[in-house]
This record gives sequence, structure tokens and C-alpha cells, in this order.
Amino acid sequence: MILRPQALDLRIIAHFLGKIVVLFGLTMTLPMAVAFAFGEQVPVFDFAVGLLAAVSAGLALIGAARLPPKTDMQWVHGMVVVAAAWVACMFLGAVPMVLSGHWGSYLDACFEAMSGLATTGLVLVQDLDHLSYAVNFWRHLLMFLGGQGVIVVALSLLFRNSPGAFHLYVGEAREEKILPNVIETARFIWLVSLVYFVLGTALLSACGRFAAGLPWADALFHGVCIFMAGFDTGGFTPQSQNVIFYQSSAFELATVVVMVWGAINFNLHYAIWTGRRAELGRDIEVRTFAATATLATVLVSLGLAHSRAYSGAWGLVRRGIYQVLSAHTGTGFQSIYAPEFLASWGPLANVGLIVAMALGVCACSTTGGIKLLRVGIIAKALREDVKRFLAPDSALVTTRLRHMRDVFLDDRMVRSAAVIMLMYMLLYLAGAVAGCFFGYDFLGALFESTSAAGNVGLSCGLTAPLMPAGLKIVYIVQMWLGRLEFVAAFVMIGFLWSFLRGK
Amino acid sequence: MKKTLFFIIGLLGVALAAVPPAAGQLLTAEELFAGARDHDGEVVEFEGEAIRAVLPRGDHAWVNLYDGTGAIGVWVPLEATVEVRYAGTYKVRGDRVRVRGVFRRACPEHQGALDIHADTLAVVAAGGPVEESLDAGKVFALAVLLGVLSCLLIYNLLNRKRAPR
Repeated sequence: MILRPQALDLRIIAHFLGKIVVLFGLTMTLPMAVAFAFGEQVPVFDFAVGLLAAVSAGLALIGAARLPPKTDMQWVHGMVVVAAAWVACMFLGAVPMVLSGHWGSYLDACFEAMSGLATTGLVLVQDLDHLSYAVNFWRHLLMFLGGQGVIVVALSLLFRNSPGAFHLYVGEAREEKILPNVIETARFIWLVSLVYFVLGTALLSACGRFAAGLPWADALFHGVCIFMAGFDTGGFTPQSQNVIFYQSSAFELATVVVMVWGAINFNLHYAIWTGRRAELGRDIEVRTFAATATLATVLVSLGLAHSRAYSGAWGLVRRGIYQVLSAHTGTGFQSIYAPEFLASWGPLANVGLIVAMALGVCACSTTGGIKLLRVGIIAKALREDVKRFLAPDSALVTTRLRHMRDVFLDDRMVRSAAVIMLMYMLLYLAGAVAGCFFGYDFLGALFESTSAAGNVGLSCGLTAPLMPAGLKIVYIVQMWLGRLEFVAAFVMIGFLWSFLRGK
Repeated sequence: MKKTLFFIIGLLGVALAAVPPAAGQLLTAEELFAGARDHDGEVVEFEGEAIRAVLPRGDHAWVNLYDGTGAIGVWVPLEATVEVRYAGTYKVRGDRVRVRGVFRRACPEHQGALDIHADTLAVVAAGGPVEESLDAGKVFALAVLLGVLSCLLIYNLLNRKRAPR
């Protein structure tokens, strides 16, 4: 029997959701400051409308909830709040974007907002090269907020340490705590990110000024934006040509440093910060990354050699390997134009990229996709099974893996990894089938679907303002599910179902 | 009659052969992306708005041109870029520029970049500053939302006072 949620359940959810929405609305003061700095007037009004709409919505939820003090959340509340918060932030984050007039419809703006929050990087913006600094900054800020985690932002600023805070943290696809309590973990994530923000922005701004040749103000602005999109493995850029715009290999190299650094597990960052640098070489995720990146590079190189896409080795490195790293880290920066994937690269190279996009990199990082911890666990389990068959019947076969500490592989761990992996596979396939339904070729549809669900953002040209509205909605759902790793989203759907059909 | 026909066809053939090589087809970015292999190595003409900034590289420069269907990087001698006064941003409509040069699907000089190496560049329409215009509907929406927010703030404050501690 399904139990219908009580009024108190709804009030708890509304209260905490309201708090997150208010905080999200207040972040719109940052692009307003950018608008003032660059002397832009109309965007100030666009963001003022967005800010007031978000804060009003949040206060309305808090007011309607009238929650008694010290009421805490259960698991179900935490999960529903997280899943609903991402949807609410999408709708509200899209308001200043659609007001700017650079999106064809509110649906397009919602697509771009979810793409930003989920750190995907697929775009439907029109005439990006004439977009205001403020709205452009907002697109990249959405990536930074979403990559760090909307909930991590809220936990750092709004919540006291409680079981409810932990439920929220887990709901946002982060099972691993770095420090004993989640509030300190959330603050550590922010500390790491802000330190890297300063260093990364300095590096990218210097490359933008001296290697790309941008004026100082633009170099700084682009440095900030590209850092937020790169470190959070998002892939938005301020110009329509993506990183091609800078026409600089030095700038592209700087983006590689930033996106690989952003793809690393925050636990590993903590280990590096506390002097345990050896962990980098021992961790299962890093080792799996080395193996899978090599595999994808071989596939893409063979494909590019077969299709004769580039005549020299440097072309292969600057275009081919760059795209492998961009796909594997889930960033989506493009050093080639979108139509080139299908027109010039050939099927094998595209399959290599799809594999890289599907896998993702580290758990507890800003990347999407299956995650290499799960891939590593399943590979170890497979090896253990083979060893078990080869060993005498009486032998006890165990497998140890290193992920921050030594862990013995058990069935529960393997089952959990396999279930999530299977869910991702189904999600990639479902999006590809939807793409075929709307009339696109299977390879292109699978490419774009994997990119959306794996929160990567590479596009072979399918994602465009004129694509069918139904496919836009499919990709929005894929980005949302992929970023939250299913659980919170499924709990929210189950909650809504029990509200309708429960007794 | 037959002789006359052969003579005319022959004359046409000679005339066609005598036409100098194509002066450069005017193509859009979309056409260049879609037919990149077909146009590889061809002399083409391309017209678009200069975007953001001219990016100097020694005696050459990159000018990114946007034609409404897409943007392409054009590699051009630095002295040819002095004509470009405005590059497109939020507040500036960039100069509309026409270039003529060799299109490369995967340029060997630039590590596989899809680009145009132009030998001529001409500004066909000057750009300039763009004025912002504020929609009155936005001001109205702002006023309404301010009213709503004020009511909600008062309601929440009253709720907090009434709530049991």
C-alpha cells in the first residue's frame, strides 16, 4: 500500500525549497553588478525582475509552509527538495535570459538554464556574440553554482548541521563526505573552488591577453567565464565559436589544465591539500581515467586516421585529443565546429568520443556520466570472477581497491555500481531513440543524447533553436536525471505519485 | 547546318576554357561547414560581421566573422585589418567585412583548424555603437513584483512573530 504524504511533509518540503529558491534569487545580484561594471542598463532590469520573481516565489513557499521551528527533514523530504530545487532554479534562472531577447522562447531559455545548472553546455542561445556581459556572466555563473551544487551552496550558507542537511547533500549525487560533517564538507568544497577560481582565472586571463590577444577587460571577463565553465566541466563559452574563437593553442592548453583539475574528486583535492599527493597515483578513479582516456584516444586516433580528417600529428593532438579530454571530463569545450564531427570525423572517431562522454570521470566532482569509480568497481568485479574460476574451488578470492583508503570489494558495492551504470545506458539509449523518432540519424542522435545525459555539452549540430520542442524537453529531462544520478529525481516522481494515488 | 552547330559549340568551349579561374564564390558559414570537403582548398569569398576584437599574431591577425549562419576565423595580413574599426559586442554593431581567400577544412598551418586564409579584406558596411532600449513592460513587471514582495515580507514577518518559540 502506498501512503499518501501528510500535510506536514508538504510543509517541510515547501519551507526548505523556499529557502533554496530565495538564496538562488539573491545570486542574481552578481550579474547585476557585472551589468553596472560594464555600463549595461537593460540587463539590470532583466535581473531585477528575475531576482524579485525568485525571492517572491521563495518567500511564498516559506510563508505557505509556516513550519514549526526545529523541524528537520527525513530522507524523502531531502530527496524531493533537491530534485524540485533543480527544477525551480531552472524555471527562475531562465527569467532574465528570456527577457534579454536572445532565446527564441521560454522553453529555450529553460533548456539553457538547465544546461548551465547541470554543467552540460548544450546551447540554444541566438546571436551569442551580441549578448550582454551580464547575461553571459549569468550563463557561466549557473554552471559554477550547478557544478558546485545548488544544495552545496545552500548548505554552506543556510543550514545548520543536522541529519536533514546530510539528506540534502546525498540527494545531489554526492555520497562521499570529505570532512566528518556535511556543512564543513560543503564549505571545504567552496574554499577549494574559490582558491582555484583565483588561480585559474589568472592563468586564463593571462592566456587571453598575451596568447589570444584580447584587450585586458575582455581577457579578464573571458578568464572568469571560461574558468567557471571549465572547472565545473560545463562547456559554455562567451562566444559562439566556443574555444575556437581564441585561435590559440596556449589558451586551449590552459583550458585542458582547468577542466582536468575540475574533473578530480574533491576528496583527492583534500588529499592533495593535506599533503597526501601520493593518493593521486594510487586512486582507482585516477588509474581508471588513465586507462579509459588512453582507450578513447586510440579509438579517436584510429577513426581520424581512417577518415583522413587531419594531415599532421599536431592536428590530431590539437583537435582530436583535445576533444577526447573535453568529452571524457564532461566539459564540452570544442576546438572544432559542431558539423565537423559527423562530416569530417567518421563513425569510429565519433564512437570513441561517445564512449568517453558516457563514462565521465570522478565521483564527488563536478562531472557527469557514469563515473569512473563505478567503471573501476565493475572492472575489478569482472577480474575477480575470472580469478575465481581459475583458482581452486577451495580458494578464497578477494579484491581490494584504493579509493582514499583500502576497501574490499563486496557484492553490494558491485550491485550499486552496476545499477547506476545500467540506468545511464538506458538513459543514453532512450535519448537516442527519441532523436531517431524526431527524424535524426542514429549516430548523431546517440552522440547528442549521450552528451546531454552525461552532462558533457559537445554537439554534433543537432541541438539548435529550430529543433523540435519535444526533443528539447527530452534533453532537459536527461540533463536533470543525469546530474542528480536518478535517485532524487525518482524519489520526487514517486512522491508525486503517492500524493495522487496513495491512501 | 551541322558544321555551323559544331562551330558554335566549339566556340563556346573555347570561350568557357578562356574564362579565368573562379574569382571566389560568395559562401555562407553554413555552406562552408556543410560542404567543407568539397570546398577544401578553393578560393572563396565570405562576408560577415567582425566579432569582439581583431586578434593580432605578429604580421598577421585573426578576424572572426559572423554572417548570421555561423562564425569563421579568417587569417589575414595585419595591415589589412586597419580598416576594421568596430568589432561586434552587446553595445557595438561590428563592421561588415568581405574577405577573399583560400578555404581550408583542416589547415595544416593552424593544426587542423577550419579557416580562411584571406589575401584581401574590405569593409562593406561600417558598424557603430548600438543604443540600448528599455521595454516599458519590464518596468511594469518590476513594479508589480516589488509590490508582491513587500506583501510577502510583511506576511512572513507577522508569521514569525506569531509562531510559538
